[in-house]
Amino acid sequence: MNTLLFAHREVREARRNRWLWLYALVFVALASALMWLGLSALGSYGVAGFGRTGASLINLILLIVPLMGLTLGALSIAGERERGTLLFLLAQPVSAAEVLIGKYLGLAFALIAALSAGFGISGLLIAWHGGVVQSDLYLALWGLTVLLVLLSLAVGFLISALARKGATAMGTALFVWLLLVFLSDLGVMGTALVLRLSVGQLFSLALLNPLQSFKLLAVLIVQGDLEILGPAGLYALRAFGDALVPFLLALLVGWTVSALALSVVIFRHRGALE
Amino acid sequence: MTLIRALGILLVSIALLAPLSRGSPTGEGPGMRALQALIASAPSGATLRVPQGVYTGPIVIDKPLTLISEGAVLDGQGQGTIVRVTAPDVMLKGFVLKNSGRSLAHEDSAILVEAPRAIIEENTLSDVLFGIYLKDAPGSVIRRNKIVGLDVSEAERGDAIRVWYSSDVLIQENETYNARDAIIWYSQNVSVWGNRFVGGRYGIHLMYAQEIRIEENALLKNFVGIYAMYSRGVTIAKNLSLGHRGPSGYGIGLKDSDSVSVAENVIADNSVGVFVDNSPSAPETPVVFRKNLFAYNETAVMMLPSVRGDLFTENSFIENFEHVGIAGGGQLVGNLWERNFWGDYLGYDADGDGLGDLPYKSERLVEDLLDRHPQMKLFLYSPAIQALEFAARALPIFQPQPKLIDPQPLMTPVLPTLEFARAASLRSGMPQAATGWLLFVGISLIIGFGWGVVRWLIPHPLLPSPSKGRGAGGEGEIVVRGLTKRFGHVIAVENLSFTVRAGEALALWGPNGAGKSTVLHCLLGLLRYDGAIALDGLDPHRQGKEVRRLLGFVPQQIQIPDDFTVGEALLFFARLKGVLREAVPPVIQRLGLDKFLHKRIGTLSGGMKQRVALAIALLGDPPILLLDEPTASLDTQTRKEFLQLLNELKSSGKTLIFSSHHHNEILAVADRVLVLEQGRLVQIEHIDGRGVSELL
Repeated sequence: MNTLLFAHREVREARRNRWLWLYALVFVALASALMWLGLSALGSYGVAGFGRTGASLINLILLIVPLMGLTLGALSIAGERERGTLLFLLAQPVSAAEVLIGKYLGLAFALIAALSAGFGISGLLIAWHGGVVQSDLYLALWGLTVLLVLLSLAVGFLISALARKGATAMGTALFVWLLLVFLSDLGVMGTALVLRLSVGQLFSLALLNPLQSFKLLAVLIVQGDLEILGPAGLYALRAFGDALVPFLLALLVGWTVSALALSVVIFRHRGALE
Repeated sequence: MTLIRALGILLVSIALLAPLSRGSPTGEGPGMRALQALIASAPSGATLRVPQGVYTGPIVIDKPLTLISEGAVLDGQGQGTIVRVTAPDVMLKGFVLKNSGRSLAHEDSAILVEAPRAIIEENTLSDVLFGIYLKDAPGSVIRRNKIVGLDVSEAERGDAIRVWYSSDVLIQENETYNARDAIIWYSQNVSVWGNRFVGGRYGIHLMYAQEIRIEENALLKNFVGIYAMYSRGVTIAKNLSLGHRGPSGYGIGLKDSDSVSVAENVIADNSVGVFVDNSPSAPETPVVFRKNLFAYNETAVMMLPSVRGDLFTENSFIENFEHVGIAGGGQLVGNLWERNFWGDYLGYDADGDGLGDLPYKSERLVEDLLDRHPQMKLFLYSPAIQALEFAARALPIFQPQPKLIDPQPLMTPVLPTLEFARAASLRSGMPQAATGWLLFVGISLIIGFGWGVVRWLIPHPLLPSPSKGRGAGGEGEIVVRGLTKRFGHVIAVENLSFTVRAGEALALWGPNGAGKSTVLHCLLGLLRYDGAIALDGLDPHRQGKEVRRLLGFVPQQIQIPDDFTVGEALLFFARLKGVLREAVPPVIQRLGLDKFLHKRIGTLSGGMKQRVALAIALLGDPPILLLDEPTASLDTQTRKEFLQLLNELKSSGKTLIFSSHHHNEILAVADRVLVLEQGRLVQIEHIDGRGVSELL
């Protein structure tokens, strides 16, 4: 019950969080603009369906959603620790895990609501524009994005549990964002070129980055297969077959649960003061 | 003369139809014999109207006849070819043909024509291996037929339409689904117009064909839309080629073909829009692409590095991931790119002539990389790819040689107008959306964002609290033995031992950094420490939650979000402590907070905030209160009032431990004072003892 109380408090706090509003606004604006452009460009030939717009959405989601989750997650614990509010909370008859999980649930709820607004408004735009959209695929992409934000939020919490100060947490979150979104892919590309990795090795290496799991699933949803991703995409389909989707989903959930569990352990160990 | 002949044919037809309408045509032998006999007895040039019924094949038409179905079904029963035409000038109209044989070796077909000038019109073919097969049948017409292939793997399918050594053929307004190809072998002057080819291998396939016109066809979701191989004089105009995907998913493919004109087509959403391999084979027979729209393809134009003699002019390249690719990497030379529109052109048009003043150069690092290393496509859609692209633009040293240069690119696209395309694409059915459903979801999500559902989902503190309220209970005795706390190398508290009896008030005294707050935090179980602490026999390390139930904590300054009202804050913490709702009002009254319940924490004075903190600490009636310099930020008057409160609490039997800088505070409240210096216990004194006044 305490967990839900903290979640409630966090949701209430989130309403005053300017970062969250800014992210939500940016996401809504960009997603809607993408949808609008996608539909306006060549809609008369029926080629500007959701598939294409969805592909641009994947890119947008990969950029913005991890940034949302990581930074807001990173600021949550570390920020409260710095302000001293955490000390007062932990001085009550509650456990550290209750505080952390409650805060996580609250922020997750706020973030999901923000994302849903982005998807919802874009969906309305499509409907208003008379666009032909596969609503089931659209909802699947929404669900997948929710998983991504839960994952990045969990990693953000891990950073927050580790960091002593808000600024350190924010800096680390931005670095991790850079790492996940840009550096790791560039690194894997470079490694693959230099070491002449096989397609299978390349695929395995790429999957170390959970964002790649999200991307593969999103491409599967939007395009229906992974052929667009070249030999590595075809390899994934052949090597895993029907198990690919459950495997990738398990990777995403696994990352989220592990990051959250680890942050609980660290937070319990360090508390509000160390 | 002609009139008399026509009348004669009509009379014969009527005479022949009479027996058919009496007997049943359905059934195996009789049906076939009936139709075959009908054909046998008809004079050359007659028109036979075949009434409703199922007729079994095979049927051979060996004289010039016009067969018009009035609902007749020709069933091949899975054996061989259903209808074989061996005489010229045969017309077959309106039949339903189904169940041909399955032998690819024998080329089992629905209709096999082996003589000139046949007209195959408005028939519906389903479950057939080959559909309509023109074999040495020049001058024939295949018009408005619908052909649905077998539901088998691609390798086991036959061609929907096969034209073999048959020139001057018209293939018009047919629809084919799930077949192999519409293939034209060794033929000339064939016109393919207004057809719709869906879900096949190659929509239209030319082999060693010449003078072929392919116009206004819709090619949707085949492996390849149009593939011209070893052919000459091919015109491909105003077609719509969409959704060709797969390792060799080409909208249009040209292999060893010459004098090809590709104009005003819409080529979109394919893996590769146009694939060019050794076409043209000689410079004097160029391949020209004019006014086509290439949009939303992974690669709009993919060429082998050896290709020379292609001219691309007035085409529009919009939103392709890669406009031009070179299969296997390398350089393109000997092709002309003139006045095309490029969606990513960044130049300008100062003189307003509609042409860019700077040349367009296709020089993308990532394209080059993916052409050379296709396995890197795994990273498509990844922001890293865009970062790479951006870096390459910013630092030209990384840029590869341009793949092509268009000296005067168009500033605005030239979009072909395909009248049939819109209707075709709408019919083509990207699965229809439940727009209303989407609308509903959108609205509900927005409502979700409005936090409207928050209160339903999460129990609110204002709701009645659990029936079992938890009182803290306990005596309030504290025993500390050998308490040591280090932060890294700094020792905050060293080997501290003391005991506080229930109902006693203990002051912690010492300069800043003496370790007073640390002791309180250890008692709260918020820090790890060495040594032993027992609060009513409970260990804060292992039983933190239970210990904190015995404790009320008042910090130097309360930290509660400013937008909480006093009432909300009290109810929140009451619920957190599992305190009955009814237990809250007495605390409010005791601390005189009645009038402030609706005030926001942010608007309260320092003294009021500390009262709220004390009220929160008292929720659940804990036996022990820990106060960390509770009056530090208060003025004299407020401090006085606060100390009075503390004294009342002490008299009510609470155990108090508080840290302070103010000696009058200690004298007023404490029974004993514990003096700390750099974490060590210097002295313990009773307030009535002699040393205290000197000490303070």
